[in-house]
Amino acid sequence: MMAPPRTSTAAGLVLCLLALGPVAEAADRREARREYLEVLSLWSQGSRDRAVDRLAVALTDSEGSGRRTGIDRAVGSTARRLARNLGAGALLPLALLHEEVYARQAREPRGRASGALRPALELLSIFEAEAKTRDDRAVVSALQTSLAGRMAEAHVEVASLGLTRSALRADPSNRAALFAVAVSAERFGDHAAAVRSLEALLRVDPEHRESRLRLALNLMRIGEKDEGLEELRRLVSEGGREDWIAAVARQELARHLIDRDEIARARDVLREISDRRLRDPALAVQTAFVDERSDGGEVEDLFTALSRAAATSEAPSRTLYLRAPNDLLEELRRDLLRREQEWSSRLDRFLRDREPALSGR
Amino acid sequence: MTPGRLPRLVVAAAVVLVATPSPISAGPPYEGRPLREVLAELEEAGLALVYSSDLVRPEMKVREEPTAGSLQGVLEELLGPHRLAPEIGPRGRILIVRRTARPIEVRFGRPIPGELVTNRLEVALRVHADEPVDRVRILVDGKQEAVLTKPPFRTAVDLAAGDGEREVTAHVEGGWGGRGRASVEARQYQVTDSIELVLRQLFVTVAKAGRPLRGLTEEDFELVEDGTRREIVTFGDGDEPLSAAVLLDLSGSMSGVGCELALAGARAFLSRLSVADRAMVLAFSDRTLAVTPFRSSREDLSAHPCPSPHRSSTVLNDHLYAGLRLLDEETSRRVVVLLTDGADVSSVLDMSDVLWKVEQSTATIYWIRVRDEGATFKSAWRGVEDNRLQEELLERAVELSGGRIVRLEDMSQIGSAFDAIVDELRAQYVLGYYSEQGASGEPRRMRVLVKRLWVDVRLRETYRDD
Repeated sequence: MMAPPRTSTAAGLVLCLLALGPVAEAADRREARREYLEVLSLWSQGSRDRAVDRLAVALTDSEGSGRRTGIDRAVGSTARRLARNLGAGALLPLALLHEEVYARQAREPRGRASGALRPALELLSIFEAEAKTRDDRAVVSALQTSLAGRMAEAHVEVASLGLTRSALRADPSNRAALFAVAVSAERFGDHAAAVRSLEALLRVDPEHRESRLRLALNLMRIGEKDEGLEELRRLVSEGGREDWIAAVARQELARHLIDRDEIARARDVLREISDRRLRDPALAVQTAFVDERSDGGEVEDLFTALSRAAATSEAPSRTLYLRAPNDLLEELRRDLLRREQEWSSRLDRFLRDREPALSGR
Repeated sequence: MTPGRLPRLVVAAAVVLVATPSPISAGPPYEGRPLREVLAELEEAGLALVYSSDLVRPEMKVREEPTAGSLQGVLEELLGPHRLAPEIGPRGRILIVRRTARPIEVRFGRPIPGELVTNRLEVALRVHADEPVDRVRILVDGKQEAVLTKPPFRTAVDLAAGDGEREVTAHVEGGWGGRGRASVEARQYQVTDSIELVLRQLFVTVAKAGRPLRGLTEEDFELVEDGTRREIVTFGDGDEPLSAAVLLDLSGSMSGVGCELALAGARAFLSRLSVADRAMVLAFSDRTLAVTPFRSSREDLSAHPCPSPHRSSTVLNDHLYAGLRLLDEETSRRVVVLLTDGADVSSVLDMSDVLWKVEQSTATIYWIRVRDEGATFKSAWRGVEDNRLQEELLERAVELSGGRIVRLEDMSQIGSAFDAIVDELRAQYVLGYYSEQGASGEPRRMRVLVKRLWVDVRLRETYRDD
């Protein structure tokens, strides 16, 4: 009997390996899907930190491997299946989970956030495609704004702005998105665009003070000084409100008067400040400056005010203006969390009833 | 009030006390109420106070509503008028003890020693007290001429006609028992023809091959004001006392190692000042981090640890103005040493405002510029172009003040930059001359010629009349 040729043995081995490849990939995908569903289950049952930890670790460890492709596919297929069975709103808990994972990764010192951002964005685009009702579109818009806010915090500003604009297309009255677009435009020096967004916001929410302040300053920068000054005057004359917004309004009003050499009027504007706000170094220094320009004031007062400013942990008003705290975004996130509660329990029931992969957990 | 006033062993507790916000805004006014009742209220609010009924007697009332921003300040104000003081005791308790009267520091701004005065004597005093000042008595040749009860401690005294030395004395009495005294001699002369003269001082740096040139005498200098030669009436070298405002930018990229190096450099700078010099430190980022009063003693910067690293913007213009303004009350040669790695981001003052101040002031500004990348950023407050302008104006301010920019390649050179500035200040010549008082606000152009070859001469070339 003749021994089989060696070449045919090698070819057989190669064929075996080629046949085993897809088998291994399929196993990876199954494993990735099971893992993803477990994470979703933890999230929907309220073990949010554990869910975020597990997904963050899974995304980081699997980056660039077949398992990662499996997770990405699981995100897409699970989202579509949930939307088909429960409605588009069911994607809300998933979107918030991925946003949370991204936010966690973005806070890490070494940039691992982009790996978490891809599925978060993918999920939002599926949600956008599945959203048929006005209410769903408003939720998509809110989720886009919220994720964009996280991206802005991570200094991914251009992409953040793009996503915020998508949010506004989905819901043109989204106040947090209008505010974010305005702040971004202002940072890029596009004051006219900032004015447009702020005016749109104030049509929806006329009393939003931070937007009124920003509108005033941006109006002044595009040459609409009278209108801007009028708004600043209104902000400082609203009795009893000496928050950082009033403080900045006061500083800018005084600054305008100083530029026009109306030192006495600038002094009047600053004199009305309550003692507490003099812990803000900008107000202390500006007060000292106008006092000196009008041949008055005591150096000792400036020293005392600076000592007080050094003793406080409050962020100065001008820093807060730069940070643009966006209370509207916080409000929007609270609203999303409220809506999510209902969807989480429905998601949990669905996963229990319909996912045999989780039956052994 | 600073934590340094409390015993060293209890600095940690003192920091808590200083940092604890005052509860005064929440409660009813204290003024006029029995002291014991107010202290009991503070105890209820969680303060562990220990005092004896001999010291805090039932008839004691709160004399004035406290205004301090910290709990320590409030306690000082409540207790001080009764000659009592808070002191940190064991386990964080606050003991109320009898106050030891602390000396009050008083210095004459006017007249300066040897100043020529006519029949009208201008008196200006700088008083540093850790307590309210009750009154300041001004005596000329032992006779009381004026009593001042609140700042500014300035007045004018009419003297009887005559010539000769006049001893001017100030006695300061603090409301909490502190006392202070200072004297100065002025020379009175009779006016036969009226021409108003102002004694001015010029601080001149002479360098050869980039190094300060020492050993010059009065004869080596020629002084020209607005094209007119002026006689040099006083001449001094670098031993002239100085008052330095050390401004440290500890924002953003200056945090961490940069901050440690900055504080080490400032510490070394302060340690090289002489006993006659005075200095203060103003540390800032997007906020005021620390401010110390001008002191003759060396400031212990260990009380000002570096803030934890975080992204923060820089409020440079406002703090530079503040440093210059705080120097106004100082009577010796005024110096600002500014350490910063970047341009202003969010000050309320524009650098053109600071430039105005630089024109009014006589201070010399040294800018230790850690990196020189130029302003290429923008924020909600300013665009790139405006930021560039701010930097250019700061460079102009330094030049106008007669100071210079010390450029550093990296932060490790901070210490040597501070050293170089001390060396330069110690080698500076101080020329005094009489100038005719012109119309207010008129700038005076100064030129100093040095009769040596190949030397660089630097001074503030423009002054404004007071």
